[in-house]
Amino acid sequence: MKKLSVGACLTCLAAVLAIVAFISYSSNVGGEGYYKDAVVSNFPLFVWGGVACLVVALVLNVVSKGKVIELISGVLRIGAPALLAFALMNLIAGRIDGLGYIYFSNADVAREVQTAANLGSAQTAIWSMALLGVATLVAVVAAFFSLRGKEQ
Amino acid sequence: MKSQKWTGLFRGLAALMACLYVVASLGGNITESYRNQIDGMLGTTSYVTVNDENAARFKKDYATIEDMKAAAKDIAIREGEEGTVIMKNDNGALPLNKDNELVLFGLAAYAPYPYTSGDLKAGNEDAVDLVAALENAGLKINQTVKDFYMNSILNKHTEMVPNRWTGELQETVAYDNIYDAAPGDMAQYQVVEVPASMFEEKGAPADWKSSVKEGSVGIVVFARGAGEGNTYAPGSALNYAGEATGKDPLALSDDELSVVDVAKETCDKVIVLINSGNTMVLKDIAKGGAHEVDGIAYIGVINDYQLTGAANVLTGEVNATGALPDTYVADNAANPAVVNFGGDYYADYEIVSTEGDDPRFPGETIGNTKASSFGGATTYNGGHYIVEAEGIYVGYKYFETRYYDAIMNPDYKAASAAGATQSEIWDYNAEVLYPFGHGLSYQDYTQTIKSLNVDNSDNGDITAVVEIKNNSDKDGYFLAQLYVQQPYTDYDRANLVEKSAVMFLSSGKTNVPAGGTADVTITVPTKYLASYDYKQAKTYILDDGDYLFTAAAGSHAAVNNFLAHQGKTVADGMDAEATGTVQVWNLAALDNTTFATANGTAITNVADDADLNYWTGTDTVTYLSRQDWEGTYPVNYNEVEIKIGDSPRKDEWIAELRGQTYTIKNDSPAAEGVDKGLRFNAQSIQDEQLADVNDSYWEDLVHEISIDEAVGAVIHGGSTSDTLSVIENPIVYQNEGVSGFTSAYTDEATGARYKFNIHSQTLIGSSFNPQLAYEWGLVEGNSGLWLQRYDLWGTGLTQRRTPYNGRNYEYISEDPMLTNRIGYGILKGCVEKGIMNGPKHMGFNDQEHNRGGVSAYMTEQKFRETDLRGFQGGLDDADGMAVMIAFNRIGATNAAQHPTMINDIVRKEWGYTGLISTDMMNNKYYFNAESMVMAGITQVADFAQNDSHINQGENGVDKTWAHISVDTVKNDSTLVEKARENLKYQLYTFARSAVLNVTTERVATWWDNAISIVKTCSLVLTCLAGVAWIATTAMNKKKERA
Repeated sequence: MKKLSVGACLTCLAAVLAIVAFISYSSNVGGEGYYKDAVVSNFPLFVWGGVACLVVALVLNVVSKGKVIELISGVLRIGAPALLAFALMNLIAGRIDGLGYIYFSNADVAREVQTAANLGSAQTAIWSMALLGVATLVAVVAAFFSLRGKEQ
Repeated sequence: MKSQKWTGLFRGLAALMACLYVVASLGGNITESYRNQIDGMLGTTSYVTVNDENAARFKKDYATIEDMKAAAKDIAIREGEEGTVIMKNDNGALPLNKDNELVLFGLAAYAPYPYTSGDLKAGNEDAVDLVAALENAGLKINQTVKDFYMNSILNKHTEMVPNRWTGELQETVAYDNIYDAAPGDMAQYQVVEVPASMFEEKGAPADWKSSVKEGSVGIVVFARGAGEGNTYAPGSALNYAGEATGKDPLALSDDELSVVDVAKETCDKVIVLINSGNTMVLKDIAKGGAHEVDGIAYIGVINDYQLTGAANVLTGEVNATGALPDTYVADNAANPAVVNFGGDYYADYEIVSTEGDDPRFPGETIGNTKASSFGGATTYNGGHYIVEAEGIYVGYKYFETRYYDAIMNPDYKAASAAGATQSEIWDYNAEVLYPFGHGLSYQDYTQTIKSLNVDNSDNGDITAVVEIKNNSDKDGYFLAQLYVQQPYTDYDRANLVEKSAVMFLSSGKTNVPAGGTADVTITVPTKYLASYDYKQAKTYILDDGDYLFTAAAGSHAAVNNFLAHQGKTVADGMDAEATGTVQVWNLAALDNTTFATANGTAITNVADDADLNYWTGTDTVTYLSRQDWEGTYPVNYNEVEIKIGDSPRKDEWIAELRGQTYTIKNDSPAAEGVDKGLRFNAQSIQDEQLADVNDSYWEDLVHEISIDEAVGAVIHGGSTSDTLSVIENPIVYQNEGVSGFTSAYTDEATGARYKFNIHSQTLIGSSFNPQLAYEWGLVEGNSGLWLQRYDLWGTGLTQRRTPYNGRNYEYISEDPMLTNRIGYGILKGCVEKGIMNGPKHMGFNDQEHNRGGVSAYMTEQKFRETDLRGFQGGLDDADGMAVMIAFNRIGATNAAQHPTMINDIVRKEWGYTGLISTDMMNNKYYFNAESMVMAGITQVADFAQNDSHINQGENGVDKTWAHISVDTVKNDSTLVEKARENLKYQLYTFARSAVLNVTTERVATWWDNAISIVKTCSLVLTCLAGVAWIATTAMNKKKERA
């Protein structure tokens, strides 16, 4: 029986967080409020690309060994956080205007724009960013650790 | 084992550095888009200007920043001096005697509106409030009352309020009790004024009244707030206790009147100061009112230094020369415009969203309900409408004309019940408290037209020399106002050409020695004498008959001068004898040709569809006509069932309400832009290019722009003009606001920051002084040169149609010509300094309520002679360089998509060549991209970044309007060429302005450098860590094998 390594645990966690971030983003786009239908170009591509890298790295580690496999796995683990960071920055770029409008407009504008739906939409956007940011960080930290656990 | 650790370390470092690289690279792009705001927050400068002062086309008038600040402050003080209006002055209440102590009552006495700084108020360190202004003027203020107001009732303090975004606590100024600074969107408005009965409860000493000395003068100040997206709702007032009173929120509340009463009880004399941009109802304190006071003065909406000027007026340091820019009435409901105000739905408004698919938004369900003032809903917002049935009869033009007709033309039934609010039969003196142009002078004077010349050629001027005689024994400064009465003929009556019995033309001021005389020369283009005949001639006409000119202290005095000239007396019903004489200019025959062309363009009807009757196909609306006051007095057309589905033009109407003013064609391929090597720079743009927008250079330049960028730059104008990739035009930032540039100037030598938005729109209006407006325009322009900012939304010229508009504090007057002349002055000054000062919000922003979609229906005479006339002085006569279009619809057409208003009137008839911007583009279903392009908009004010493209959405379509893409527009050459034409005007205007006065160069700020260093280092470290990781991985394998 193999015990899961710290690296594998963190990699799994990063993938899960990224998926949750994507779900949050989807509800942001699909729900009522300011960001309804406001899709961010290529966001799904980068998030799922990052998640795929993490998952493939994990799977490769389980099913096979060898230098090439280790190199491929390593490249995927280096690339995954970069893709997630890509997605995060795209999301920020796509949301920052609206957040500024909702939260930092002058009092007259704020009175009108800060509806419950818009504030909820903004908060979901912030949660999506936060989750993706944490996923990226966890993926970076995971890259410092080996995916292989000790035999028990 | 050791080397495996190194493997993990290098792999982790490679991942970390790769992330950092991504963040720095994309973060750099994001910061690029917000460079202006980041610079503002961090105090950095991204652009430096390299210029040769001597060679510059636009030069600063002030050698040092101290001189610049002094000039700005001087203008602001003069606005206070010239704009403060003495409305009532009995019992010698004014000027104030410095021997008598003042007792200040009312929350606004200690915190005048606006009490916070921002767009409206600069908030410089040396700003002067009312207490300081009066004390600086040598007046003593009762300390006991001051203490309990300031320390107990207001109790100015700071509160730590969590930032909504970060949650971080921020220090914010607050008061225990303060008037509501924003009435909201037709919401209930609480008149927060602590009633006198609660003074002790709120902390006043029980014996505070005994502190008031004999001979004291009570100064009571009342304020009303306003703001963007705000509209007062008639009858919406709440009292201090929060109970609905049913009163007009602009009327004095019982709580406020209790303060007046206690002031009257304790002081020998009481003066009320009105601190508002919205015309208030002062019946209770005016002559004969239950709470009549000795004096009333208007101080408008103040800024940093205006109260110093107001104090100079109150103490008599300077003569009072301000005049009311609006008519003050006993009940706002007396304004015929108020009958149709606010708006409501068509009976079948849903038909707009249910009548077939909209090919621009396939599969989408789009409603037709109203949106908030700031958009945000999936709706065409084409369900709401108002009918401006009052026509040209807004403010004094209604009241004075009806007064005149009651005496002169009894057949017109002016003395009927229609529109009467104070008695059974309409009575001018019961309805009107203080007329337009009213303002008491401390020093007695007379004004007489000494000579008059009317050049009635198409570019001619009316020139009147007004002699002012100072009848006092003191040198003084005086106001002259020029009015005219146009003939109202049988032709006019037959063709519904409406004429006010009196029309303000312009005004001027001068110093006059004691007992002496001085002349004021007033010049105004003769074209404004013409009236628009939308029925018969379908152009401007100058009627035959006598044109009466008079100089008078207000519209009512002018009408009395006309009546006296026509043989009437008090015995005939006049409420006063004439105060001046009349000069007559006669036109022998009706002239329907001279003013029927302008700038080579034939003027004819362009807004028939602004009339609701055009759509209903019947005479649904009866517009107010002076020939039958009783029979044509407006009804509320929101109470008349209007059905879009019943219209003979149903499909056309629905399309317009859906914003389909223009439909993209597919049968004429547009030429792609070709780089011919032309660039936007000082070497290419010489005097001949600056002299003529039709110079071939401009055409050639814009034909270098690609289809993608030509359309994209217009429909994504943003708050910063885009850099077009081929022609290398400079970035031009847009700046707020109506009080001047809101950006702060930082003195490099001292680090001190100073803001130049120290102007007051309300007080420049009540100054009645176009020369002062011009001088402010020069100062505003100079401040732009100091700030190195050249594009400004720096004044508001919409007509104040009713007292309830929350933006009235940004506008000048109920009168188009006063607005016209003030706008002319401000824009002329700015143009001379190369500043693109764009007035807001052209095209009937008559209410903020549902401004993003409400349809305003009217006749073409109103269309041309009211709101647009207010803008014409600045854009046509002063050759202004920018304008912002209103949010609302004119008729069923979004004002920003109104092709004939913009292309035919503004561009062709006025010869205007400047920028034309929309207001905030906040609803893609209401604002239609292709229609705005075709209407001549040069920049759609979305929140876009430097992204002049139409391919940045999913699958290469536009990111806002998915039906727009290069593929969908490339076969519509008309649309693409129109976009290029719009950009031609935009680029030409940049060149005319101080943008080309200088060379602007980008420099790297510290944060640019930081981002670059992080980018470079992270890239290098990614590579190094990656190589190290590969190497250690390989070594591990060798060791394992070994």
